[in-house]
Amino acid sequence: MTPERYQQIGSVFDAALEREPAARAAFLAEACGADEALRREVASLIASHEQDTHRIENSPDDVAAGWLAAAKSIPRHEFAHFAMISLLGKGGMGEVWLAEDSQLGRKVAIKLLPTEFTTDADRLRRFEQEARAASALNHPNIITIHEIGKVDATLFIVTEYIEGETLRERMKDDAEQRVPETETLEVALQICAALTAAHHAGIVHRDIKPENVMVRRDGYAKVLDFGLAKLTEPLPGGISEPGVEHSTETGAVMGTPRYMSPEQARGEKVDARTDIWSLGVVVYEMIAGRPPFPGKTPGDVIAAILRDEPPPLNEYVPGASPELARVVTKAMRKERAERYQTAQDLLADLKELKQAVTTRTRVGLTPSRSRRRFLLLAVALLSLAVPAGWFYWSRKPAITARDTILLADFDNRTGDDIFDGTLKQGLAIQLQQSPFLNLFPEARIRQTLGMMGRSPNERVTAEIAREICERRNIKALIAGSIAPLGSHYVITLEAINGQNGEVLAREQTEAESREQVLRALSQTATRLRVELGESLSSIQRFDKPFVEGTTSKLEAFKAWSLGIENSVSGKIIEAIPFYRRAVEIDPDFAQANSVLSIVYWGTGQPGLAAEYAEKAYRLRERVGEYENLRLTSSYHAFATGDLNKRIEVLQLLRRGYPLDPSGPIDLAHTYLQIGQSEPAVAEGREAVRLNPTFAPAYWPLALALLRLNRFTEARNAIAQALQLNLGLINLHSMLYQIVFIESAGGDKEGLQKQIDWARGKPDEYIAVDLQTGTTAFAGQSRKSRELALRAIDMATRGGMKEVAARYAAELATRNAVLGNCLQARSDTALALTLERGRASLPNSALALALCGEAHQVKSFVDELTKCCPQNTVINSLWVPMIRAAGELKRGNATQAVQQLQSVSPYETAAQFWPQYLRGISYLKLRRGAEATGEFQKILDHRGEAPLSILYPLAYIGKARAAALSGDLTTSRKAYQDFITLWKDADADLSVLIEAKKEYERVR
Amino acid sequence: METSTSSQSVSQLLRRWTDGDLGALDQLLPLVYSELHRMARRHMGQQPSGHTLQTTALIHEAYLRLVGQEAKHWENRAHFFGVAAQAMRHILVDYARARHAAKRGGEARAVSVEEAAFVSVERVEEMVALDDALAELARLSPRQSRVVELRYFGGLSVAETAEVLKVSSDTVTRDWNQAKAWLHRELDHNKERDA
Repeated sequence: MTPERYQQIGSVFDAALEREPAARAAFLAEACGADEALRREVASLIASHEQDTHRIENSPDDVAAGWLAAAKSIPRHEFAHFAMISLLGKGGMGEVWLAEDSQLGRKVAIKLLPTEFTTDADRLRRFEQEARAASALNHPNIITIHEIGKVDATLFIVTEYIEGETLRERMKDDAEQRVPETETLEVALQICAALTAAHHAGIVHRDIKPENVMVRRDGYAKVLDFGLAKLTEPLPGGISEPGVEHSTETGAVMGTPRYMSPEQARGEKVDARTDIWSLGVVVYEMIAGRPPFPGKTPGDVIAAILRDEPPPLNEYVPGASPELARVVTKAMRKERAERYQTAQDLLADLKELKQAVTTRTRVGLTPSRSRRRFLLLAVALLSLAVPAGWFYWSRKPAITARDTILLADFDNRTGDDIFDGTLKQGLAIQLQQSPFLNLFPEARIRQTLGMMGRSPNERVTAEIAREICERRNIKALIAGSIAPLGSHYVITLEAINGQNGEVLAREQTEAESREQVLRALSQTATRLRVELGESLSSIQRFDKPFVEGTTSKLEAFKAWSLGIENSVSGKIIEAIPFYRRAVEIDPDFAQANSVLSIVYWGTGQPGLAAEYAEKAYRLRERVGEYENLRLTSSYHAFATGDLNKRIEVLQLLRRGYPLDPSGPIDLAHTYLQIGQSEPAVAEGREAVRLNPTFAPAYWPLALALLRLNRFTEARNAIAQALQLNLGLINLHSMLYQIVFIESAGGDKEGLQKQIDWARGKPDEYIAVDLQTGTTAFAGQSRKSRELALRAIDMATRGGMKEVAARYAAELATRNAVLGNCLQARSDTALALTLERGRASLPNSALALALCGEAHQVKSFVDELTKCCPQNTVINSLWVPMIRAAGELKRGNATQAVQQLQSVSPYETAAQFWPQYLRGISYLKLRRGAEATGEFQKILDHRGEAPLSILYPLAYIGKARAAALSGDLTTSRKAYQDFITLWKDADADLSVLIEAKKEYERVR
Repeated sequence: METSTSSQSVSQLLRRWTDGDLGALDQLLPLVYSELHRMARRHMGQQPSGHTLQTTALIHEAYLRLVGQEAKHWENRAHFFGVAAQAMRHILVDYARARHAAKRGGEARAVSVEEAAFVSVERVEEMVALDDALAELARLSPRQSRVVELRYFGGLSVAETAEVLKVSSDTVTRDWNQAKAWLHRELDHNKERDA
């Protein structure tokens, strides 16, 4: 049927319904005429209509009720509190299901063993004993068993659920079924660590194979099925003859005898050394991409195991390291007395090997820097060698690694307001040390409060916290309280199930005095972590008492907390005094120094940022690993300015703390600084993916998109950040620039909106600077200068000397490029008087170079290179640019072009200067096409510097270059474009007058 | 997934959608969809078993949660219900299909006792058949299929449906009558075929 036909039927149907039922038949006959099909169709619809059409009118409430009941998901079978979700795998030993434990609200894996394995009560008992014993080792590389039980004849084993793939699947990821050597070593180390622990406890696995190792996406490996072999191995005194009978039985059950040791294949008694053999086989296979003992049938395989020596590893993989080959060979000695005798020995060799391999790769890259890198390497090894310690919740893991936890506000019953906010902040620091523990961010708490119709600033009591948990589906919350007890204090922490309110753990500590409170809190938090099931090894590694990293001085801590409170809502400038107070009270407060450096940088004060980054760096021994990486990153960003090094550190951070968006965010910022906008976008997106409601992620993302002229996307990113209540002026500044570009300066209202936003705020000078930029862009030099001086004045009065100095220096470069060298010199002088340093020297030097002050320029450049010998941006960008400008002024255009060569990789971060200087140089050299190319680059990449005066000037450059190449049409058009852009410009600007004259000539 | 959107923006999206921005619907649907799911989890955690909820009540609660105090206008509510009807259709039909498939494949999908008590096998099959028929109806008359969706899954009145679709109430009534008659007949045919 066609829609038209349906419509036709419909209108006849409607008309028929309007008639009395009795008259309908006659009406139909008349209305349909010869179209009998139509008549029948309508008649059948009318019949249907006259019947009971009730059921379509009834809302599907019953189905909804069924759905709701399903959502509650209590399955009917005997695994009372498990709801099966999906089948994860099937094998000789039964099925493995992903299921949800509805009592604890966590995902688990359930293995169901078929009846055939479970008939023998004695075997069953031995299996259970051993499986439990292995699980009880609480080893991070051994899967945790929650429960073993039996329903009818089916044995079920409930274990933690590991998101990842089996080692077998991992191998299949590669076309040649190989795993790179470093990764192989990492996995082997972890398996070996698990074996070492198990063997110490007298437990032999007996069935080590790739199917029994799970590899998580972060590289963390876990050995499964300890004890399971007990169910299938021959009974003592049973079959001991080698051969097909036995192997068939085993083969049918276990799938393959490939990993069996010779003694196992012979049916002899086995000991721990059988696991060493099997691990050797696994490692061999990972490297070679094929098993050492191949065979078509289990019998062939067993024959090979007993008889053959496997081909040397480097026969398959020429690059395989001989040391590794040696280790593998030793693990696979047929005579077990010749093998590694303990897993520990093998572990030691693997560790050494890993270290050697890592060192070789790292040092191999840049031998000259080996020493510095060695330090980094040490950090890297730390995080590679012990991935095991990471937040491993065992025993009764009330909370698992990837769960998010919400911190409620402390219930302060002391009447002393110093504890308000302070204790929560302290607890957050303590808990954040764990790479896999995710705290629900403060900003999102506020947002959720808003959604709940509450004030975003409302105190998050335990009750409100519960509600947030329910809304956001957060597993657990921690509620703390502090109460006076005579002159003492009692601190209580409770971990509460976010879904049902059940108390998971509770810890209490008494502090003897006010000054002991932070320390006591720290101890309580550590005990709570143990109580919740985190392993001791993890705590040892990731639990630096925070008083060491922060401060024992309550007042300092309080000031710092207040600073953080301001920061999260974007009140960055307002936060500075609090941080300053914190470091005044306690100069050794590493975190406060570190945050200060970041804040100073973010507010355009690079000199102060360097100072505090260095202070924080000197205190790095006091902080935990996470904070250490962060402040090392800041040190390279702000103090040395060595951005390549910073990128290395940030990559370590990301690797170690894969859930933390700050790694990708900082990487994005860094890439922006060195002009790599695409990777910056990628990192920004990654940060957003990790945490879409963490507003700071959108800032570098938006900036990178803006650079790439992707204005709509940039706008969206900004809108998202603003929606998350991040009141950061940088976001409004970007919006202003986008509006300016998109409306060609015409949307006065849209522009004013962003300016108005900043009114009365402490960083209002930024808004004034934006107007400085737009007026300069339009050639309104006088007005722009007035605005610039106002911005300088405002920044100075706000105590932001470095900002003021930079504004003055930028004013100088604008004047210099317009040829107003007199003013450029006095602006430079002003800049340096305000603050002589990183904020003012680069632009000042550039301005003076453009004006031919070679002597002064040289001293500036010396000063810069001396202060910051490793600074990537200064040395790779500014210095060559300044030198090029000097050469150009001296008439050495060729040298200028040469100087600028090294700048190319970074130039998208350089606000058009390299392109512009190159363009001018080519003009001088009368190379029209090349000059056009450079100016065109500017015109095509507006987003790189939306308010730069070089943009309108590039039109003149292009006009001249085109004229040089004889392309008068293009030249005329470019002059016209320039004159249009500058239609409201100061009429007496020599640049404008000249351009107009030249235009007349090409007309 | 979690909603990262404030009530403010849900209202904005609704407004954009009513102003003809179809993209806004794409953004709205998942929000409403996930809110309904979240509510289902929440509700059943709290309600004594056997407690039934009406679909319209569910949608109404989703409305209060997502749009909140932002917009009290009747039009806005109707439009929100328009989106929610679509989400509700997805949810219920998906659910019904899953149960249907489980039954067919003989797979041991765990069905809770409560779940079984609420919804009969026939009802599940009917829901699936209705969805198929609605898809065919959407081809013949997209508007009529929307009318059914809004009235049946969203519980909207004739007047509200008219508001969402920007047509007169009479048109809605006419559409509703014809669509019902047509669907009814289709469902009966189906049953006969299956029998």
